[in-house]
Amino acid sequence: MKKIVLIALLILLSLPFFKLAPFAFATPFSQAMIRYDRMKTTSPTSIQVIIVPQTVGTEAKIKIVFGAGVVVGSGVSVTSTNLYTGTSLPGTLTVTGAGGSLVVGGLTDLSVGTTYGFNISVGLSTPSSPGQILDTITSQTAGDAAIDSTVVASRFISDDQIVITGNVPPSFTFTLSGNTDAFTADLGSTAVVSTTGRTVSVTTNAAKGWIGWVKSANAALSSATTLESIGTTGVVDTTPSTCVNNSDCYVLDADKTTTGAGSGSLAIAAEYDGADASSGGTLSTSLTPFVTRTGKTAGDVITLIARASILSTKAAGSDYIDTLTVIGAGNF
Amino acid sequence: MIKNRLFKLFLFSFLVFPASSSYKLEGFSFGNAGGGNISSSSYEMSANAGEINGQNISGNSYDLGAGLAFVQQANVPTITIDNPNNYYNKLHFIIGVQNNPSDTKYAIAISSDNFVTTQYIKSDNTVGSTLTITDYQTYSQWGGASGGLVVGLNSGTIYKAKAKAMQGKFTETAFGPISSVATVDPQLTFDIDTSQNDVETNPPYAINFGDLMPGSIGTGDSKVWVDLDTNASNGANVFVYSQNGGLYSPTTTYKINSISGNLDVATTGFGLQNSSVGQSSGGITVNSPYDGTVDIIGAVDTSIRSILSSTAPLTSGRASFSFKAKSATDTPASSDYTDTLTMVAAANF
Repeated sequence: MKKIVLIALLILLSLPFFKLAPFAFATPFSQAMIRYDRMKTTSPTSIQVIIVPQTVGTEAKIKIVFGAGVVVGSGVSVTSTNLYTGTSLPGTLTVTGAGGSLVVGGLTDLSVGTTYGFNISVGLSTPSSPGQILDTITSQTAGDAAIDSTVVASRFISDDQIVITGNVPPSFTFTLSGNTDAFTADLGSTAVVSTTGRTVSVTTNAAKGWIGWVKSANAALSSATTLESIGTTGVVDTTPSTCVNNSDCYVLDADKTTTGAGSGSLAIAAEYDGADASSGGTLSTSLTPFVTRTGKTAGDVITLIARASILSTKAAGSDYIDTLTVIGAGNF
Repeated sequence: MIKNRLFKLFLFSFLVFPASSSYKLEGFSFGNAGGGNISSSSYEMSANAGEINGQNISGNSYDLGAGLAFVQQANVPTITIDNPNNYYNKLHFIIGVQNNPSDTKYAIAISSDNFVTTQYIKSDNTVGSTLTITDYQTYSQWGGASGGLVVGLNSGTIYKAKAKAMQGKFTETAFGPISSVATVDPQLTFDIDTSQNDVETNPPYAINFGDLMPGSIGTGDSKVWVDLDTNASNGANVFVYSQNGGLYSPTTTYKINSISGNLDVATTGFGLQNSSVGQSSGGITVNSPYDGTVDIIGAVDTSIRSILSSTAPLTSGRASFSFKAKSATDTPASSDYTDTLTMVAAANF
C-alpha cells in the first residue's frame, strides 16, 4: 500500500514534465515574392522582394537563402526605388551577403498586413542551368529567431530577351503648286511687275537635308512673234539684282513661306534672296541652287516669284515666255 | 478494502484510455457499487466505484476498454487529409464522424514530425500550439462532407493528422487513426516564344518590322508568346522592360519613342498590344494599357511593367503580344532601328 501511494505521488509530481511542449516554427508570410530582373542563366541580375508579414514580432532582419546556383557576390546593395507594389522597409537598411544567402538588416519592425518591398540592386548572378530553384525568405528578430518564412519558386530560362529591329527607308517628297505662273499685270516701263508665284513643298527624312535647284530655258522672256527678249539681269554672283523702270530686267525671287519641323536650318540661296518686290536672282540655263535645308523636314514651303521690267521701246507681244525647271534632292 | 479499491480506481482512471471505432458496449459493468461526480470551480471528475478494473484489450486497430467511463465516451472519429490541388501551403481534410450525433464536437491534431511535437487546427483553420475549447467544432463547422482546408503550412512537408471527439462532459475520446499527406513544393513555369503562330520556339528571340514607312503603322513579323504556370496562392505576374525605351538608331542617334496610346492618331510611336490570352484553370488578366485593340498600344520602356497578372494558382497560362510601330515623315532614314526587351515572371506565394 505504501509503495502504491509512493508510485502515485511520483506520477502526479512528474506529470508537468511529460506535458507536450508547444512546437515552435515560423509561419509563412501572407504574401512573398522574389522578382529576378533577369531570368536568363549565367547573368548578372537584381531582384525585387515583396513581403506581407503575417506574424506579430519585432523584425530586425530579412534573410534570403537562395536555391542552388544563385551566387551572391561582393558589393550587394539594397534600395527601395521603383517598387512594383508596397512601401519601403522602415529603418536604415544594410545588406551583407556571400555564397548563397544575404541578410538585409537595419529594420525597425514591420506591421502585420502591410506590403513591403526592397531591391537588391547589384551583386547577384543567376544559375548556370535552366530550371526552377527554391528561395527562402525569412524575417528575423535581432537574435536571429525566425518570425515569418516562405519558400518561393524562381525560374531560370535560356533566354529572356527579344531583339526588335526595323528599317526606316529614305523618303523625299517634292511638289510644285502649279506649272504656269503669269505676271499679274502687263509688263511696262514704269513699274516692276511680278508673277503670282508658285510654291515648292518638300518633306524628307534625309538626315542631311535637301537642296532645290532651278534653271531657265532662255535666261530671258522671249517672244516668238516679235523675236525680241527681255533678258535676265546681272550674273550669278550670290547677290540679287534689282530691276529699275524703263530697262529690260528679268529675275527670280525665292521666299521662305514655311519652315517645316525637323532638324537643321532652311536657307534661301543668297543669289535668289531678293530684298524687295523689285529684286531677285539672275536666271541661268544651268541648274543653280535656290534653297538648302541642312536637316530633315516635315514640310518646307518655298515660294518662287518672277519679276520683270521693260524698256519703253520693247516690241508689243503677248507671248513673252520662259520655262523654269525646278528640282530637288534629299541629302541622305 | 474499500480504500484499496478506490485507490486502484484512482490510478486506473489516469492510466487507461479505452477507445473503439467499431464496437460499443453499453451497460457493461459488474460488481458496481455506485458512483458520482466530484467538482471544483475549474474541474469536474466522474468517478464510479466497483467497476471492473484491469488493462485494456488492444489489437492492431482497436482498443477495448471497460467500465462506465468508457461506455459514455463518444465514438472515436477518423480523419482523411489529402492534397487534391497541388497545394504547397495548405491541405484538405474531412472528418469521419463514425456515427456520432450531429452535436458532437471534434478536435484535430496535426504534426510534421510524426507527433514528436503536436499542433492543432484552430477554429480559423490555421495551426496553433494550444488546443482550446473553441477549437472543438462540430462536423458541420469543420466543413461537413466537403471538409475544410488547414492553412499556413510549410511546403514540401509530410503532415499527419488525427481527430478526437467529445459530446458533453466526460465523453472525450482518444485520438483516432492517423492520416497523412504531403504539401508540394512551390512551382513556377515560364517560357518565351516568338512566332506568328502558336508554336514553341527556341532562342534567340527576334522580331523584325521590316520597312517602317512614314505615316504607316507597321506590325512586327512575329508575336511574342509567353507560358505561365504556378501553384502560388496569389498568382503570378509577367513583366517587361526595354533597353532603349523605343526603337533607336545608333547611326542617326534618333529614337522612335515607345508610347501608350493610339498609333493611328500619334505622329510616331512604338509599343505592345495583346493578341490572345487563355489558361486551363485559374485566371489570367492582360493589364492596361496592353489590352488595347486595333492600333492602341502600351509603352515598353526602361521601367519594369507588368503586362500579365493572375491572382490565384494558374495552369497552362498562354498569351501572345504584337509589336506595332510608326515612323514620321521626318524620322531619319536608317536600317538600324532596334530595341531589346526583357521579359520575366515572378510568382506571389
